[in-house]
Amino acid sequence: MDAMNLHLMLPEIYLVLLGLVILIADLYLAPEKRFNLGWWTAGGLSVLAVWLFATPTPETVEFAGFGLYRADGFALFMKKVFALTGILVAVMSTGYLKRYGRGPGEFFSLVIFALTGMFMVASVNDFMSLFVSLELVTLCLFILAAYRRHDKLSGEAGIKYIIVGAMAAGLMLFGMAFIYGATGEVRFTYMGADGQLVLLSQTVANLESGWQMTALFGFTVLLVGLGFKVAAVPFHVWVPDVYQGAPTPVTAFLSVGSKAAGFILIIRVITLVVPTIAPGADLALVDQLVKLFALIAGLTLFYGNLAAIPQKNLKRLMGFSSIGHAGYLLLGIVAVLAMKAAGEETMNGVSAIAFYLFAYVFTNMAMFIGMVIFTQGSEDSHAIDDYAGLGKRAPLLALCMTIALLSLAGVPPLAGFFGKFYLISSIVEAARLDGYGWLLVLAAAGAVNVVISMYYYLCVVKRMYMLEPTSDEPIHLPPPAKIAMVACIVLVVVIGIFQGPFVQMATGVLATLGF
Amino acid sequence: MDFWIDDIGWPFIKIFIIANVALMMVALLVWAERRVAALIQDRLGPNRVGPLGLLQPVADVIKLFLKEDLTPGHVNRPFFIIAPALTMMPAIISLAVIPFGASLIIADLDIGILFIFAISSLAVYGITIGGWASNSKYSLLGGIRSTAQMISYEICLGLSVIGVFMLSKSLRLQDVVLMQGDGIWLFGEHYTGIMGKILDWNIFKQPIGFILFMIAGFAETNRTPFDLAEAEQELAAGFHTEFSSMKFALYFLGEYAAMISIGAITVTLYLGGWTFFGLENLGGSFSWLTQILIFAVKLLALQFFFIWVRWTIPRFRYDQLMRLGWQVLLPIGLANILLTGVLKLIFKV
Amino acid sequence: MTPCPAVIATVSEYVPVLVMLIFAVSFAGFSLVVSVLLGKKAPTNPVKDAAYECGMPPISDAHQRFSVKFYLVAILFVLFDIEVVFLYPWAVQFQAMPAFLFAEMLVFIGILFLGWWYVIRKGAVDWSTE
Repeated sequence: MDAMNLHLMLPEIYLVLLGLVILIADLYLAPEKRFNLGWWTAGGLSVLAVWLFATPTPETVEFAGFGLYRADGFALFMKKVFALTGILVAVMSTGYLKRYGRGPGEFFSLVIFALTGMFMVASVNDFMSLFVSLELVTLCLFILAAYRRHDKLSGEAGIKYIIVGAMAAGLMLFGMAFIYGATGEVRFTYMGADGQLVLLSQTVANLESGWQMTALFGFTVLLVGLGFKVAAVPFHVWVPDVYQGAPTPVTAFLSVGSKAAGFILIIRVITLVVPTIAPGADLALVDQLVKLFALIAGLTLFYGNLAAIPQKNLKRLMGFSSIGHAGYLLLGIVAVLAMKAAGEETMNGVSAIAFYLFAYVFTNMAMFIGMVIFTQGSEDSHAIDDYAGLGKRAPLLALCMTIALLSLAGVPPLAGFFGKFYLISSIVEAARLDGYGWLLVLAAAGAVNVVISMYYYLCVVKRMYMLEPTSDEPIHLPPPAKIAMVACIVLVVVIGIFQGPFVQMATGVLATLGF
Repeated sequence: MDFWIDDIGWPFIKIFIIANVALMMVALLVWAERRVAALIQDRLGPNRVGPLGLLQPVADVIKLFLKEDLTPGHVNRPFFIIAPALTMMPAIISLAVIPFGASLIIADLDIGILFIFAISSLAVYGITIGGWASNSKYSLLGGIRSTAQMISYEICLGLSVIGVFMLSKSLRLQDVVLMQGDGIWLFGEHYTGIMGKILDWNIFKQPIGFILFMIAGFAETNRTPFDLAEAEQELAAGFHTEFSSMKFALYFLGEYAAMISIGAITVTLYLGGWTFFGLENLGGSFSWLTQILIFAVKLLALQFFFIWVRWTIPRFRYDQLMRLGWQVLLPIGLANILLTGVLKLIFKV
Repeated sequence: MTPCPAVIATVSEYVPVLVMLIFAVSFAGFSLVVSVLLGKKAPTNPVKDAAYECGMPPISDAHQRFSVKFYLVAILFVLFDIEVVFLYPWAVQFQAMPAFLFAEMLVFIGILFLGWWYVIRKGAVDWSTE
């Protein structure tokens, strides 16, 4: 616990160095060669991804940075997800930036530094490192969101994101201060007086009831702050505008990376800081959190999916759909919390979230790569009507986007279906517990929303195939982006059909989650 | 009772002594500036009021008090009024942690130098606010120019003294003074001969740091060759174009007090402070008087150097100023830290 | 609620500084008030109330946009000054374990140097071209 253990942080150190190399190389390359930095980034991140996939899942938790940092199975799994996200973002940005023609060096190094923050987020073991790493992610994303700075929408996206992000950060700090006030501790796990590892959740469980309420207040405020990051209703207002205004690759990065980072933190706080209540003990604290989260999850599901229906802009529609997906992911959180309230340490909700995120990366990325290819990055407007007749203009692109949309909607046998299936089954499992039968309502809400989302996703598909194209201009598919998109789609299908190894990978993260 | 005597009474007496000395020095400095300028330009300078014109500053102060206190209509009134005070106060307050003698220190803080940097950087506010509140183009330009200049050179100022604190192992300024002048340590041996003692002054142990500190000090106090904030030929009087009467006097005072304060820090950090190889113990129970005299002599010598430079060297252009600060002094400052580290490892000082 | 002795000791060290602050404030206040009281009072007129621009009638307000470079310098100052402040505790502790701390500082200054190099190459503090 009390050691620097720098070797555990090698992936992060590698990322920082990669970012610095890109930044410095940008100074020395000829202007037209600078766009190759995207390939450097993708290459560097591929090395990292291979390295991470070759790393065996740790059997025990190890700590680095004097207890600020934990290396466990969950962290490793999420880092794999982030590395893949990074590669796909780099691939789709290269062509995009070339057309937009502005500052590739800064863009890619910001992407890498944001990834570094996400890697740190995956390994947080302390409120301080939680805050710093999450802010590293959001600070980079603020700039990236406003990257087309002569574009009014992009500027609007940047400003809205900064204001909301700053408020969320303030709320998070406020919540942390209350938890610290109640427990006197900022570390999630630490060495107790007797040399045993102590979880902060044990400390919270042993508090007097008055202090427990202080801690509950702290949790609530902290989770409100994190709710902004994951775009849970009612903290979602920024999402549509930011998603629409930000450059498309950045929207993709936001919808996958930033959201995953937020969920990791919620999971970390819930597994390590929220206590598991012994049966028959005072349930107040955790029970309140279950109800709160169930309410938020339900609202998020319905709001995201219903508000997506009237959208005329595909990016905006993806923004609302991303709120809907946050609602699904929150179901897993509710399941974990309900288990904790009943005194059980079953964390199936977490593995369901992990699987969902893994599938979501490829589905969403395929969709966004398709969108980048479609507009060729030039004007970056995404009216859904423009997609009319895409099936005739570019059959492969239309097919890939269709499969991605179907997977997002949750059509079997695609990856998205099983993600939703595991999340809903985790909540059904939680509903078997005494006093939590009402969670079945939430499960039903999840099922109903699959149908709702099917409607608006299929509306897009209908335009692609049923309507006549508005222009005959052929769409050129640049080879790297095409390969990346097809690879994603193949993975979406493969994960859907052969889920075994992937489910195993997702359940593997549970072993080291507790300590 | 103890609180009132120890924490209020003694400091009050010390503040009285030190503030008086400082204000006298300012007056003397104003006189010296004009006399030395005259000397360098081969003319007489002020010589009518009092012997050698020594009472000239007094006459100036009386005149400034009696002038019309004009607050022009176009300015931002509240900021216009507080800005001069904001420039003057930091220079005076930063004198609080300077040891003028073994016991002549108002507050012997253990973060002495950080306190000085924290307080003295506030002077920027007075200049920025004054320049902006004046609502005049010359003032605004002078104000922002000077802000950019002062913050650029503050980095060098901060970097240049780090070597000193690597040697002293303490940020308390009294410790830095006591560490100098008692013989140099080389390879674990203590040389206490007169050469050993002289070489123990930080100016010899940290020559690069000293030069950097002096350059940054000139820039921080807006003295020639860095007086772009009030470059008369292009900006009228820069940020204080619109100020008159005592408001102008406070800026004036602040500038000279800042010179005194930078000089006092230099004396403390590099020139052995109030010590002079045993001379500081002369005078028994009145040795504090000897110490403050030693300090004053060193300080005056340094101020003479400031004035000398002002009337000798032409002004930088703005791009030269920025290039010097960022592209030359900053890396030298970093290199000096590394060099100090290497030498410390080699010589085991 | 009794604060710990160390806190009292640290706070009482600052009492003289507070006295000094009061002295400085009252000195400034005294000068400003007295000059208003003693100073000559003369009627004002439009010319006297206008900004001094060496005799030219001032055109427009002075509160206008100015070069973004000043802003860049301010941001860079914040970055570098914070890094400099980090060096102080390091310098004071250097004696304790010189070789180790020296190696640590090589890394820190190395990164700082890279940042500085980037700033210079980008021309962020180059004022000779516009």
